[in-house]
Amino acid sequence: MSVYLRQVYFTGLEALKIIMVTALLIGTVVITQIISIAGGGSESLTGKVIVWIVVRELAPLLTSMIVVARSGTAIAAELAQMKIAGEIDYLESLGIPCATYLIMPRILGVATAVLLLTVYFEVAAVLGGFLVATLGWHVPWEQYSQGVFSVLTMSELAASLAKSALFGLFIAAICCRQGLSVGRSVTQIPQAATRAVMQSLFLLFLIDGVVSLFFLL
Amino acid sequence: MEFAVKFDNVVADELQEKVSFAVTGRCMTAAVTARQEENELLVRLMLGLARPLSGEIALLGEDVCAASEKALNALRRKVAVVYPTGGLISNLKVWENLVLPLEYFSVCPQGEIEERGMSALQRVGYAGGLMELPGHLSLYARRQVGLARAMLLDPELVIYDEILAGLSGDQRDAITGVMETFHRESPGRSSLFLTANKDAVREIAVEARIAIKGSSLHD
Repeated sequence: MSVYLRQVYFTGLEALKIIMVTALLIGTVVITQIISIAGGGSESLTGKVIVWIVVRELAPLLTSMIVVARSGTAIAAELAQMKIAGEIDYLESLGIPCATYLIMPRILGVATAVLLLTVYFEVAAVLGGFLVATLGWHVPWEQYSQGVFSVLTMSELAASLAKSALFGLFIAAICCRQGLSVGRSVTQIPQAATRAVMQSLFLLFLIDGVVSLFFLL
Repeated sequence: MEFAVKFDNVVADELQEKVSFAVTGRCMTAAVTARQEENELLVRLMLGLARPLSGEIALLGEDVCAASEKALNALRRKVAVVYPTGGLISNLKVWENLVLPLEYFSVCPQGEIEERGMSALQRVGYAGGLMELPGHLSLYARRQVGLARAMLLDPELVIYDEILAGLSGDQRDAITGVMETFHRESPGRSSLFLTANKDAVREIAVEARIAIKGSSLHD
């Protein structure tokens, strides 16, 4: 339990600041682009488009990419270092299985953290978008929220959360696998971290495509 | 249980020759190996962390090679290993390392874990901080914590891997005293001292000495 909570803390709570800032900036960029394309009088459209772009796609994807960069590399490097230093054997010699003590809590911890961070990202991006829209173009909350809630269905939310949960599970699994795949040389630690990042990113895009297709059909 | 550990014609990747030896149960045995690197491999083979290419290994009367992973984990809980580095996990603090197996297996209530943990640290004479990371500790302090953790496990077999190497005379005396007392506390306990330097275990009152070289067994 302590490993799981520690993972949620490191991956979730410590990344909250960067997630919030990124979400606010993304909200700003999206709103600015919509208004520059659609022009004045597109108040309800701004709310709709931010849901289509941010909730459906960008929030799970960008949150997961930030988690890969921050925690994925850390997990891979930490496990690789433990393996090279013989610490995995130390644990196993105590009768503590590596899979239940080191791997499962990390996978579940990262999945939980990505899920929560995605929700924070979505809320921050939608609110950030409104802030820019109302300050820059005097878009009223009623019209903006009407646009948001008219397209924010359970299906949209389910797709977003399903993606983020899958992303979290796969990121952590890949990073654990790469971390534990090292041999005896410390030079393999950065290599394992690099492989973990590249494979995680590839899988993120793959899962994103598959889940998007699934919810479309 | 006649033998605590028994190797019968064991061939493994990094062993230079076939290895056969037996460690009598309930006694303190010093095993002198050919190379220090072999100690680590022998420990891994004994605990089923590495599989031999051929031969048979018995630990506390159980066939390690035929045991399932679940059975091996249960068997490993009866054995404590004190590694040359202490065997501590680098990202856990001293206290977390010490009580890790007790907390993981929930063997007793939290209050009792704290009491037993503090008592074990006092017995080994550990004077460092409880919230220190192992990387900040001296080799002696790390071994003290490793020994304290082994004592908390109340094992049937304790394997000491190069436990005295690199320590000063006073430190060796202190650790030797603790190990000997700990061994005598439980009549069924076996202790195995692995070392590549036969002089290193002279100060320990062992009841048997064996040399692990090739397939021959020297008493």
